[in-house]
Amino acid sequence: MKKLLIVSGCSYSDPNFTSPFHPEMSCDWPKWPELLADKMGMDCLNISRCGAGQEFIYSNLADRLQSIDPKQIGLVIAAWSTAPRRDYSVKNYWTNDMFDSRGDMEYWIKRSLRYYYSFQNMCETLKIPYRQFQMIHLFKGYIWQQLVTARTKNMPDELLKQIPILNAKHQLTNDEINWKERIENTYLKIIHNSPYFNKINDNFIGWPTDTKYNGYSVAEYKLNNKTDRISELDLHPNASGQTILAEFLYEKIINS
Amino acid sequence: MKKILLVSGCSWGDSNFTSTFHPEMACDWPKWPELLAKKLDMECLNLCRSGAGQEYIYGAISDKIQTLDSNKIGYTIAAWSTAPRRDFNIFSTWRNESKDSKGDINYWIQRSFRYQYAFQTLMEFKKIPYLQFQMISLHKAYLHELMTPYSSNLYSSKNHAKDIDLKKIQEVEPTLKSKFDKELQKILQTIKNSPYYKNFNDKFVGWPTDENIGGFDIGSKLLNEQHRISELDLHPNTKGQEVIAEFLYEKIINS
Repeated sequence: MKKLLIVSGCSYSDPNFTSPFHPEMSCDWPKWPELLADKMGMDCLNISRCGAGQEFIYSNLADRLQSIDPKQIGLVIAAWSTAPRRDYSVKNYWTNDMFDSRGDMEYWIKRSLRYYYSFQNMCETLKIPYRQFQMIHLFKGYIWQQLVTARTKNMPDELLKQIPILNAKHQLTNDEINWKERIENTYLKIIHNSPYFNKINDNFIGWPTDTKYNGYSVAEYKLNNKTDRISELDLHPNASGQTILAEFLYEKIINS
Repeated sequence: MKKILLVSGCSWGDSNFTSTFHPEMACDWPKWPELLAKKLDMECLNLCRSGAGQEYIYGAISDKIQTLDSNKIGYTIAAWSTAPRRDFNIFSTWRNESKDSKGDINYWIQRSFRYQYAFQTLMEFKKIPYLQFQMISLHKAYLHELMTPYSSNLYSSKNHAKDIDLKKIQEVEPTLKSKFDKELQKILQTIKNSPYYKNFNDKFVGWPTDENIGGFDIGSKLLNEQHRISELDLHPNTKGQEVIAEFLYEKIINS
């Protein structure tokens, strides 16, 4: 019997992903968890969901690992999302907000790192093979949104209407470039000064998640914006992007 | 050198606790973490904070443990709070709300179990001696608040965590008992159906935390009127703190 590859993540990994910007588009190409399972000769249990943040990703893996025999599990993967998201459930149905209405970026980053460490501990204790990585960057999307919002008159409240403005090309002023650099460095220091910085092990691919610390976020690191994304409006990976993600992860896994 | 007793919890263990209901009262009696540390001949590192929920309790212990040599920790205790609380921090300072504005009681209880399981896993992985328990009930204060609109004249404060006196409620509103029972049964089902239900070990004192299903929370089990500050403020007084410390001491030396 084949072993299980269990994956939890956000929209980049969601088997049922649909594009809000191209509702007419069929997005039923195989996603990287299914492609990776195929390469590894495993059955895929993909519990990724559009909009998910770290709490959804961690909770759904932790809940599943309570009831599945560890001997049946070939590999567990957490593909982490952006830090500010807030997950919760109502009547047993998970939902999420793009931005937690409570706390600040320092808190959201620290909370993320606790989830990463807790996931690592859980898998180590249960002796289950695992990997984790930052699929989309912890805070760059948030900084960019802050920046573009500040320079845009009459920014719409609705996120879907904001995206075309956010994804458009913007010629930044020197002041804006300096501000962005300063904020990024401030947030990076939060990662660097975290008590978990040196406690996350090699099973975290691309740790500590940013190129300035010799780490990376996988989508940013591997996807070509012109060929591997759905469109300029929708930056989710297309069929080619999903294949690239699966191949990259496969190489990382078999060579470690 | 003495080993460390590391404790995290809510107001019931907060060394700087002050009474909202009796602001004039000096509440500087020793709290159970300090009393227990003395009995165990350990140095107390008390992270308990008024208003804290499970995220703070777990987060504070997990963060602190990364900075300490595990061999220097004699014991770690998580004294869990009520489920609906929401913790977050702003400008590096922890804050909380008594009820999360998102989710429902089923979610808050499941979230609590995940923190409690993460704590168990962390301690097992680090090989640190530990205990955990529900200091105040996961859900009794929530049920109380749920019933309060029907029985507001029975209570002088909507915030205090007094157990619901069903007899009194029934005198005012006879259908309330069935409403209460229905809500309680739903909550007990949530606990019993949780994937974590059978995965807590015997270091969780009082698991599964409610007397209706064979567990208990420390506050309900150990404290009566003489152990509490007043009818208004149900936090443990000097005697209550001693009772809690004594109970935990017995648990630890007999485990």
